[in-house]
Amino acid sequence: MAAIYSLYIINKSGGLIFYKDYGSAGRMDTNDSLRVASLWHSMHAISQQLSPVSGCSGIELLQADSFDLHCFQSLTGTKFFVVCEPGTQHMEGLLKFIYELYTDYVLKNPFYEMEMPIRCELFDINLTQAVQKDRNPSSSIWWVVGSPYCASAQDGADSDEDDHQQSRKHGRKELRN
Amino acid sequence: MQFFGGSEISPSPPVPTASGNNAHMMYVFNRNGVCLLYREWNRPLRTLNPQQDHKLMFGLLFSLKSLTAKMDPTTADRGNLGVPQLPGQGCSFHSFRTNTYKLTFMETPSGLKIILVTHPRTGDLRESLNHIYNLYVDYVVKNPLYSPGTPIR
Repeated sequence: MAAIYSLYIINKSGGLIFYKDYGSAGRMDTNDSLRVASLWHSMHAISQQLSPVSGCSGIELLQADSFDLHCFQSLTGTKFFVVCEPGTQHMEGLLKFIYELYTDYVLKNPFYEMEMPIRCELFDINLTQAVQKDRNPSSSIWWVVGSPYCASAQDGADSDEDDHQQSRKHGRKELRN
Repeated sequence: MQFFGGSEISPSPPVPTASGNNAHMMYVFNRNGVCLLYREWNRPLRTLNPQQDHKLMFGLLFSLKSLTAKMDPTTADRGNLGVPQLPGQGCSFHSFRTNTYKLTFMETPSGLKIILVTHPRTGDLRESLNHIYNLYVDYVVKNPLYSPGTPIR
């Protein structure tokens, strides 16, 4: 069961900076994923122009026959969009959580160049965790907005990862105080 | 510091009451992209002249359709991006939602496209579009004085 099919991150000029496939039939090749990402960027912009009311910020949800596409645009123009099964819930929360991971592990990485493809190990690790959590129905809503860091006991299989989690929690507390 | 609290970054306009009119506008295009019918009920913002607006809307739908056909995660053979497809071929879409409006789209086997733009919180409108299509068949197609491909009067 794959609730999430794939995840894309595009920079403010429409270039694909991150693409991950979670088990759709026939993986898209690199050129096609780049084309699709920039096409989505333009469609997002055109949908703002066609709004009957002012203040439109682009497509948030596209419902196709065989999938749903949820899109989240950050204030800086980076777009995160996820392709999932029709009717999947809580995708806004997941996208916002991925945005937090992006700010924490990509933007704070001193070796990351802005607007360039993302190659950060910590980001990959945490993203995989978040998506796997999402697939596991018993804990599927742990990152729902308002309770981003649920204190549920993790299976301490990997002590390294536990350390990451701990440091994240502490960092978060300091931020809040 | 709660960055993503209960409030949304882009709040949508207030929900209209049940008596209010939810529809903003409606388009009907034929398979060649000619706008057969355009109606608007509530459109405060107008950025383009009508012709350009219709062209942009048709282009948006056409490109979104090729995007969904290419993205379809359930089939492996998806063809090339941008190759025109026959109506009913490939994965299509039925609606999209932004923070200010919701667009519902239907394409018939003959290539007729019916588009309704409504308030973002409206539910599934595919039934209504089917009803509109029935009206089109009954009162436009069966009208002997109507010549296909011309605007509906």
